[in-house]
Amino acid sequence: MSVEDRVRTATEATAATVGQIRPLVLPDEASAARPGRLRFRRVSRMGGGWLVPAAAAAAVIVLAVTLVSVRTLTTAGHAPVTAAQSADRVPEYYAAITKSALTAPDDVTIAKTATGTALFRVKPPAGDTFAVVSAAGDDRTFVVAVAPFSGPSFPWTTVVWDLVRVRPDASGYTLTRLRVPAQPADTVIDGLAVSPDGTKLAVLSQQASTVTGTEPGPVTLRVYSVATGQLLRSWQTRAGQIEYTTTPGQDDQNSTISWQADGQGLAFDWQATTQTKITKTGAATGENGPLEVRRLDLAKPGTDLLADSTPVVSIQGWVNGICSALQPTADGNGAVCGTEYQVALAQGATTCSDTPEPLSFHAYSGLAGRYRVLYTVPPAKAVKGKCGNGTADVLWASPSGSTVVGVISTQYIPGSKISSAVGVVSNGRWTPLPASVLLPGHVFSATGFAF
Amino acid sequence: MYKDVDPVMDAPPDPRTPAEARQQVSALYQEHALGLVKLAKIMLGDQSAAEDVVQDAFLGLYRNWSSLADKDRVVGYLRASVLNGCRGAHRARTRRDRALLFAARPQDIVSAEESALIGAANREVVAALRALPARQREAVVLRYYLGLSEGEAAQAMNVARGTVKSATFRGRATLARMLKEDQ
Repeated sequence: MSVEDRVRTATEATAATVGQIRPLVLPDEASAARPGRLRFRRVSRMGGGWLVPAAAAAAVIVLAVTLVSVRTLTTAGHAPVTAAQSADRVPEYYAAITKSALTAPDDVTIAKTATGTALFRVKPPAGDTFAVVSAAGDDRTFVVAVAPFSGPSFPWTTVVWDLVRVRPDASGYTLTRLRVPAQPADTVIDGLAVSPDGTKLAVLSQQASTVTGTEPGPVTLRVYSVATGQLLRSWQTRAGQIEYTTTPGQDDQNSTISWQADGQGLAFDWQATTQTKITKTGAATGENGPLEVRRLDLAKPGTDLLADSTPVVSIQGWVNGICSALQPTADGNGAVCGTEYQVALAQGATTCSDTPEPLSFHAYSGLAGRYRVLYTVPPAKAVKGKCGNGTADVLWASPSGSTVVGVISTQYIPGSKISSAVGVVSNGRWTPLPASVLLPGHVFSATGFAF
Repeated sequence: MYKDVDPVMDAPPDPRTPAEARQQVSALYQEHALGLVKLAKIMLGDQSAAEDVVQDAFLGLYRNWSSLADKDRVVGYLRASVLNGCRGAHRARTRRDRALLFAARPQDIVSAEESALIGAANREVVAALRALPARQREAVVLRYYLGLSEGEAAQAMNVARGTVKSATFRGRATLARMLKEDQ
């Protein structure tokens, strides 16, 4: 049977499974005429950009080197964090979620930052796939989420956790299944962060809404012991405290949490909404609040995620570009981000006339949302008259936010040629890191890449 | 020529939306929604998400009814809007899956009954289809499932006809390679 016939047969079989569909729900005239309810959408342009999947695909690393499949399960201790390691220098190693083939489960590649050389390719246990990776501050320890693998377009069910630890002499690694409880199937995990000393794992999650049009469940931040899996602390939102989301049960795609450099605090981003019912039919009412970075002090008691945390950054609106994702810095005082743009064809036009906004990396601080530009991509690279899309993503930030590892990707249409580069931003300068290669169809994300 | 902006969904709400728009959009929904949900389900694999995308498309149509210059092309608008919605949903899901660990909601899990109806071989083909880059996936589905001409597919995708041709060719080649690899 030809590929065409197989596609026809398969798509018709899939279409035949659609039976009853729900009736159309239109808003009343009053709400239809209400302009711009969503005045501050953090991810508004993410969903509309065509670049994202392939974009920062620069983060996918060449796997052609040293493919080590040693899997020694040990509980060897980790190296302590030194002062030098916690300073503003870029970590020596990073881990990235990678893929050997489009239909294969994801593995994790440990690579050397300075050379781009892949040291180890860690394969997931049989039947599983790796999902999200986070790095500790010792530059050797990574925690990876593991989910059952059921194909390239899988929905994950329960998620468990593995620890990857590079030996001090970088001669190998260990892979250990953590005792941290598995995440239940009705949970969306919004953020993951290993403490600087590698002893604690913070997981930000939200109970998914299983009924369209209903509110998602509370947001919970839990801190577990990496050694024992014991739940050490937990904070949760109260009823009615919901974060802005585009789809019930699916929190925004870029929630991030960061440990403070001293391991005594956690920062997370939060955008409250007063929308009582967030529906895909646009029938929601209410407004979204400012985008905040809030800080939790682990030394203080409390279990209320919002009442027991303190806002340290408040952003009322974007300046010079919309952030693709906001990453709290480890000093607990600010956040960094990269911007994104989309220049699309106007209705009836044949070419894009606008010049794309320059991509840039920003740092935010303070409750007034003070911002400064860390680096702006030279505008000479922007092609006027072509439809295009670009993103700048932060992969790692120093505790003060003054040094950033980022990826810049642009794509112009027609031609669809994607240009990506990974580099270090410091003192207003961009220093490229050795290039990565792209695996077509592989998707990059900042949390699929950990320093 | 490429247009990723949805002419319907990306426009701001129009306060001049006439009352009769409700009736006309509802009638269009009765006639075309099921087919569009099927198209979206092929793209996304999840009927609930597919229905969301189609609801969004009709809602956008309703909101912008008075500003639509050519109402004879409304089905084309809807199809393009659904494709655009699927593109966003697919991208969001892939990105979210990787970035956030999306644990399956009950409606995302294919039932045993549905799984049996589709069959293992067909599931494999659809899975490979969903792993294609968006443009290739759309071109292949529009050409082989809906049976659209290159010109019609180009209109739905808001790309040039040549782009449809090349995307279909590349998609077919990638599928052949992927399906062979999996055998």
